[in-house]
Amino acid sequence: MRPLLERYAPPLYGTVILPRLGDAATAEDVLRDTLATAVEKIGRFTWQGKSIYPWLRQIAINKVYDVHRASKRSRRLADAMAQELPSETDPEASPDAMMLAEEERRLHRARIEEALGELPARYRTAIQLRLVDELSRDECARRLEVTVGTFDVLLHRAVRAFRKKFGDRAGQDPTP
Amino acid sequence: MTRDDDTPTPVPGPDDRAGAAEKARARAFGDLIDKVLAGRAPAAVPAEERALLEVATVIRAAARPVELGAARTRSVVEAALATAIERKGGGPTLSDPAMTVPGVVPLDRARRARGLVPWITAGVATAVAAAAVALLLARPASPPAPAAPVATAPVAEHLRSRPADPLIGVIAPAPSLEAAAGATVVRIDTIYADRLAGFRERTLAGAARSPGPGGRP
Repeated sequence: MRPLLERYAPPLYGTVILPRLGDAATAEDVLRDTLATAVEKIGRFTWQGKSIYPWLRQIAINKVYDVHRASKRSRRLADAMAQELPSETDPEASPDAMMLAEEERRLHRARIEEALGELPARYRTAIQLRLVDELSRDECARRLEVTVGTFDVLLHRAVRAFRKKFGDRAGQDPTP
Repeated sequence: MTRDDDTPTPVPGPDDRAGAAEKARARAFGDLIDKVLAGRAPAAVPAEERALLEVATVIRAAARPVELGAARTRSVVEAALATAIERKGGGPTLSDPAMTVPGVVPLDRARRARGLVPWITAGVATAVAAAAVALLLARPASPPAPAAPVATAPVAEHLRSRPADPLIGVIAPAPSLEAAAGATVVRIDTIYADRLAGFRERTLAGAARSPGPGGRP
């Protein structure tokens, strides 16, 4: 069982749990709880010649919702991510775990980019330089031809604006 | 994301002037992002800033695969297995026959088996040693070695030494080792003196080649 868990833990963490929580420490806790539950409930898994990954993924998503409920967090982000993967209801469409994880990551990225596209260009650039390209604040400020203090304000506003846009979009989508 | 993301707070435009309070918050947020990018978990963070950090993490996770790391993965899996074992009192577990999965060895059973290995090894080694000792003891006694053949001296009778028994007589048991050693030395000296006397007698008499009753050395 251990090799199976070690194989699927990284995609569960990187593409299912962390994007729905946004907090690395909480995501690790949820991953551990997901794997523990999988070990406990393995008898309920029916082998049908397909990957066990969709089953593990569904456990992980349920755990994420538990965290949102317990911490009284908004479900918008989790809802937005949960309805991203059409193959969730049809695991046979993409039976390989890595393919499924990659597909989920691709859809996740598309959704993020869609929300970014609705932001003013300078906000978009600030987020791209700092969070995606991971440049230093000095370098980001130099490229935008502003002071570091002004760049800090720009990034802060950009993330706040993104959160509003992303949350609003999630709120408009039906929860599966 | 925390509930405050539902609050309809207007976000200023990119070119709007920022007040001192907003600049301070933005600088603190920039420091938090520095920590996140360096892989360090920020400590206590206000709810509003934590919500923004979560959004930043979500954006980063979409941009590139977030690696958990092999060591971290093993650690989390280990913790998960331990958690599953702890919880096993509350419901069906892998130890139950109904939960048996082909190729899956329940952890508690595997650990019990690992714990017995040294004892089993010691037991087998002891049994083998005991069997070897028993075989050694039960082995039939080996037949006595055949008596060494008595060599017949090819030497002529007149060339052989005279028996020493008449000289030293019966050897009586000595009261101590020292006394036995002293008596032995005396007997050797007696025999030597007798042989030397015989040699002189034959040499001086010129009868070294003539065998006689007392001519033997």
